[in-house]
Amino acid sequence: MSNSKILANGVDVYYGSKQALFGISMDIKEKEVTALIGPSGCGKSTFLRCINRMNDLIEICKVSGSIKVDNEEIISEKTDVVSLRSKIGMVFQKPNPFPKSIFDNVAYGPTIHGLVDSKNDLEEIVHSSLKKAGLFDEVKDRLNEPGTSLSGGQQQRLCIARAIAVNPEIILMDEPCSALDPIATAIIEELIDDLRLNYTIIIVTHSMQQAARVSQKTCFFHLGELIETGETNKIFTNPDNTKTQDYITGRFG
Amino acid sequence: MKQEGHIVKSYDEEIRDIKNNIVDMGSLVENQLKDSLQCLKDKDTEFAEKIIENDNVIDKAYNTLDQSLVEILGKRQPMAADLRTIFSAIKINKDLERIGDHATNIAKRVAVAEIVLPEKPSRDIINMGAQVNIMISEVIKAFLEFSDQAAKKVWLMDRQIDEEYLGILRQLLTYMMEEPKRITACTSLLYMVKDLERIGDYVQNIAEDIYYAVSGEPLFDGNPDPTWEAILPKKK
Repeated sequence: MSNSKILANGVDVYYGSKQALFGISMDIKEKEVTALIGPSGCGKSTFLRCINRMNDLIEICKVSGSIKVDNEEIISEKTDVVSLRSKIGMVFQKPNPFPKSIFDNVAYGPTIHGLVDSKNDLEEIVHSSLKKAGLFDEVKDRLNEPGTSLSGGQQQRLCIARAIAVNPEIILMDEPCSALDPIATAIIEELIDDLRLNYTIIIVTHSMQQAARVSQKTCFFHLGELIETGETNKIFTNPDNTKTQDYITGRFG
Repeated sequence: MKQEGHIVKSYDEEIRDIKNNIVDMGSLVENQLKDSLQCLKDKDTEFAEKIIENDNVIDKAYNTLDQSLVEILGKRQPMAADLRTIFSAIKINKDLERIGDHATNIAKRVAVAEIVLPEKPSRDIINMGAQVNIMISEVIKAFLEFSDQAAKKVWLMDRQIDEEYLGILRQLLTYMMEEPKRITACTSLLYMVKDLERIGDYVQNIAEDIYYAVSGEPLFDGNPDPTWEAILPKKK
């Protein structure tokens, strides 16, 4: 039995007066892939953004309750958000490389976090991150070309390389394949499977099949509530809750 | 778990078609067995030929349904209860086709039987066949009602079939021992009773599949009844 990496307890989120999440409690294990599924507007991305305090950027957003990462409370004014975010990488729906070279995209994080002492160190981190993201062989001869010159799938893997360059422990993925074709999607899914050995991954996805393929645990959200959470194999073959069943079989959305 | 319709209406229609086709397949094999038993009763070799030919109809229906099941898997990528239903339908279709083969086998033996079949065991086999046919009809009903409890009830009916099987087996052995001239005729009957016993087992498979499709759980974890042996092992 692996340990809890993230432990959420009674998390409420309000956007102004509108409540978006209702008392979410969740236990996310270390080095597992957890998929968050549910119809649009159900709160899954909101919950994902609580984990690295991205909701701080939205002025009207208020988060209460408790989220512990490695047993440390992060919903607190005392939390060092910068160091929290260095521990938690994030990959978004649309690949968003910086308007810089491929090399600089990956080098940016380690440089600003002061993780490197020398140019050689930096090169080593950039190369190994690109390798871990399964991109190195495709770009090794053109590291100085702009990141935006890559294909969509390559850009997304560049963003994953950028996320892992700062040596995080957790990677949050918000629909990372929704803008990609099936082949690029398959490559990312294969990558997620490899990354799971070293990272705790939480992925928001609208594709049931993707959740079934890549995750070990699945959490189903509906109207801001966590309806069911369980082993992915169980959720997709024999869920306990009728709402889960109706959603994953395409009976409501 | 109560099911609403799918957002995609054509998906509902496809699942409905699958269910209807399973029911049709069930009726085909039920009739096949009924006809085979009738032809055994009447010793009607001409009718037997017709029944043998009719097996092609069952095989064709099997292939058509099998193809639509593959298509629905590819097209819809079903999940949860839908996945279990389709997965079970694939197995049920296959088992029904096998039941059709066993029913046809009975007609095949009637067709080649140039000898006089002993009355009493023939009658017993026809009665046993009628019970087996009730099992087929009940299991199809359980599928139509999508009822795990009804499926379990049918599953348990096989115990009686196995008892009958053993009874007729002993009877035939006695006949053969008493009068070796009857060995050929009795061997034909022996095959028939075995066919019926196998059909009972296939119906049990179908009942297990229905139970799983409905509940998501296996009907029995491991051996349902380790004390029960329809075929007694030889003493060492």
